[in-house]
Amino acid sequence: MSALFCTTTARAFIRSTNLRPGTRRLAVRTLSSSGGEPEQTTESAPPPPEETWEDVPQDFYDIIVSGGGMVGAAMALALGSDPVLLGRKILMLDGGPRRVLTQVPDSFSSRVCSLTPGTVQLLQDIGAWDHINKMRVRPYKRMQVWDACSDAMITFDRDDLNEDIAHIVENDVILSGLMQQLDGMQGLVNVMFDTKVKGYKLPSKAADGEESPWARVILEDGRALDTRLLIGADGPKSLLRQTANIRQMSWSYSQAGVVATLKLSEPTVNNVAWQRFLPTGPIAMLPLSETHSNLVWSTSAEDAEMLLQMQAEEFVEAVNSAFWQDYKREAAVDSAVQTVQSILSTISPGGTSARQLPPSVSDVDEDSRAMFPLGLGHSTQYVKHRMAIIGDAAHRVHPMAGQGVNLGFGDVSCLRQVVSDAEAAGEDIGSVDRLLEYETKRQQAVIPMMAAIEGLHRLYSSDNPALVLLRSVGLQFTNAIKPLKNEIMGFASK
Amino acid sequence: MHACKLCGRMVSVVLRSNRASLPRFNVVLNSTSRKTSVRYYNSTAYTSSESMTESGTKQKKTSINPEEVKKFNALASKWWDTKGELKGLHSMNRLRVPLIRDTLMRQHRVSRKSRPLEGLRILDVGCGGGILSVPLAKLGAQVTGLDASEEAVKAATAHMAHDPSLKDTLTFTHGTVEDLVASEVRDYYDALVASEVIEHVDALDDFVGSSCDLVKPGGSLFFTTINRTNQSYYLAVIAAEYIVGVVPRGTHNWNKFVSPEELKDELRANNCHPRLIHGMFYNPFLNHWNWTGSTEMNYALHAIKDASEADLKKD
Repeated sequence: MSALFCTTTARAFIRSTNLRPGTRRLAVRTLSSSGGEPEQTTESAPPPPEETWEDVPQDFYDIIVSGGGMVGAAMALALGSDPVLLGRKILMLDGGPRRVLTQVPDSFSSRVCSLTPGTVQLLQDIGAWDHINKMRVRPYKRMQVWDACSDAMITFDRDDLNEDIAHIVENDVILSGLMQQLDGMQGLVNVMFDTKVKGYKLPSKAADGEESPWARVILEDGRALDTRLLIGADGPKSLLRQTANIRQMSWSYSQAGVVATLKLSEPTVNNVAWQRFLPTGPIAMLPLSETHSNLVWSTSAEDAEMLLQMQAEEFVEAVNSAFWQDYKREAAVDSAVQTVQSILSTISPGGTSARQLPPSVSDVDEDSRAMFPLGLGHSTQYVKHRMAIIGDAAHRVHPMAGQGVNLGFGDVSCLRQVVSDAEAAGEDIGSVDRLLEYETKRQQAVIPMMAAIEGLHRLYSSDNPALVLLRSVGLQFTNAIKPLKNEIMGFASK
Repeated sequence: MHACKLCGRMVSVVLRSNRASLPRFNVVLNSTSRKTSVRYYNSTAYTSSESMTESGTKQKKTSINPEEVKKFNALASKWWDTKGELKGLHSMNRLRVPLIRDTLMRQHRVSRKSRPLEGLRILDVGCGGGILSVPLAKLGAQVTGLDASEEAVKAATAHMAHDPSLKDTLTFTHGTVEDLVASEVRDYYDALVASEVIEHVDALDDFVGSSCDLVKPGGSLFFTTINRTNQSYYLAVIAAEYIVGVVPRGTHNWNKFVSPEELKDELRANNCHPRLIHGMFYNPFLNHWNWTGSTEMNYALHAIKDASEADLKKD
C-alpha cells in the first residue's frame, strides 16, 4: 500500500513538472535604435502550429538514470544530493516495484555484498548508510585466503584489527536503505517505479539542429522522455548499451556460483572472511552474525547443479569438507613451502599472522540456496554522446573478490564528479567530451581489477605442482611483506 | 570615431564578424539614405519568419523559410562542433568560464554552488555562435549575447532554441556596443565580457568607452585577447594561420592586436580599474589552454568600474 502510494505521488509530481507543450521558434531580437533598455525575454507571439520545426518532448529531464537497482539508485541519489546540481531535474526509472523492507526479516538473504570502505563512504555521502546501518550490517576485520593444494596462505587486516576491512550487507538491505533515502529526496530526485522502457533513441553528435539533440527514452506506455544525459544502470544485458552499439567483450567460465546462508556449529566472534582456493574454484564464507555466515562457492556448472539438489545434511558436509579437506598434495611443494615459511619466520618473527581455522558449519537455511552462472564482461566503451553506462551494464566480474558491486559504486562516485564539474563550468553535461573523462578514469580502475581477478582465477584453477609451488611461494612472500599487502588492500578497497 | 571609406561620414566602431571562416556580415553605412538602417534596428524582436532586406525594410513572410532554418542550423553546428575549426574557443571555456564565475562569485559574495550567477546581468560582446554565452547562462546569469554578425546571432539562437533551460536566461541580439549606448543603455550590466573581440575592433577607444558605459558602477569587465608582440606575430598569425592551419587564414590582423598597457590605459581613461591580468597559453596539438605568467601571447584582463564617480554623480 505504501509502495503504491509512493508511486502515485511520484507520478503526480512528475506530471506537475511537465514542460508546457509548445515550440520554440527561431527568435532573433534586434535593438531598438529609438531607445529603451533591452528586454530579457523574447517576444512571445503565439506560434502557428504548422511552424514546428522540432519535436517537443512530453517530458524533459536534465538527467535520467535508467535502472533502479543498487547502482542506479545510488547514482540518482548521488546526483540529487550534489549541491552543484541543485534544481536540475533528475529522474530514476525502475521497471519493478519499490523495494523497501518494512522490517528486517529474521532470516538472512543469501544475496550479499562485501562493501569496501570506499563504497561505505559513498553511501554515507549520499545519506543511505544510516538507513542501512540501522537495519543489518556485519563488518569484518580480517580476511584469510589460503590454497587447497598447499599450506600457503595470506591474511589481510587493517591496523592490527582496529579497523574494518569491509562490511557484509544483504542486497535487500542496501536497496531498501537507498529507497528510504530516495523517499526523503522528493523534489530533488523524481522516481518512477513499475515503468518499463520500450527503447532508447540516441542523437548523433553532429545533430545539425533539425533532429532533436537530446537522448530519448520511450516508455512502454508510449510516453517519451528527453534528457541531456541518459545513464544506463540497466544491468548486464543493458538495453542502452545495445542501443548504443557498444560492444562487450564477454566470456563465461562454464562455472556457476552457489550461494546459501550457513548456520555455524557454535557462536563465534565471526569477524573474519574466509576464502579457500580449490582447483574447481574459490569458496568463501562471509560473516553475517555470530551464528550465521554467507557462502559464495564458485564451481563447475555440474557441481553447482548437484550442490543445489543435495539434501541439507549432504550440502553441509560438502561445504565443511571444501574448507577442511586435503586436496592432492605434492611432497616437493609441501617441503618447499615449509622451508620458505621457516626462512620467513626467522627473518621476521611474528611478521606473518598465525593461521586461523574457519568455523565449522552445522546447517543451511532452508530455501537460501541459489545458483547463478558466472561470466565476465567488459564494454569497450562506457560513454557515447549524451549517454553513459554504469555498473554491470559496463562491466561484470567474477564474484571471488566481492568487487562487482564496489566497481559499480566506484562508477557512481566518478560519474557524479564528472557531471558536477561539467555543470559547475556551465558545460553541456551530456557532451561526450566531458563524459570521456569518466570512461578513462573508470577503465583505468576497472581493467586492472578485472585482470587481477582473472589472473587469480587462472592461477588457482590448476593443481599442476609447478604452478602450485609458484603461487604458494608467491603468496607466502606477499603475506610477509606488509607494505605490499597494504597496497593490495588499498587497491581492493577503493 | 573614424571616417567611413564609403561616404566619409564619421562612424563608430565597426565590429566585423571576427571568425573569418563564417559568412561575414559587415556593418556598413547606407551612403545614400544616410540612415543607420543597415544595422537592422527594429523596435521589437523579430523571428526568422521575418527576413530583412539589405536596405533594412522588413518583408513579412507567412511561415518560416525552411532553407533559412537549414542554413542557420548548419551554421550553428559549425559553431558548436567542439572538434571543428573553432575548437580553440570551446577549449578556452575551461579557463574563461571559471575566471568569470569565480571573480563574480567573490565580488557578489555568492557561496551557493548551483547556478551561482543567478541574478546577474552579463553582456557577452562579440558572442558569435554563443560559445561563451551559453555556459554563462547555464550558470544562472541573465546573458545577452551581442554580435555584429546577424548570421552568427541567428545561428546562436538556432542552437539554443532546443534548450528549455536557456529560454528565460539567454537572449542573442544583433548590434554593437555603440548601438546599445546609443539606445540609452547605461550602467546596466553587472558584467561585460569581450572575449577574443578587441583584436578585431577598429577603434579601441570607442569600443572600451562604450563598454565601460554599459557596466554598472562597481561592475566587472572581462577581456581576453592577443598581445601585439613579435611572439604573437610569429605564432598567432604566421604559424597558426599559415603553417599549422589551426586558424583560418585572414582571421587576424597583427596590427590590430592590443597590448595590455593600451587596454589598461583605455580602461583607466574610462574610470575602470584593472584588477587582474593573466597570461594564457594555447597548446594547439592538445587543444588545451593553460594559465601562464607571461602575457606575451594571449591574456585575460579583469577590470572594475569605479563606483565612487557614480556615487558623486548621484550626490
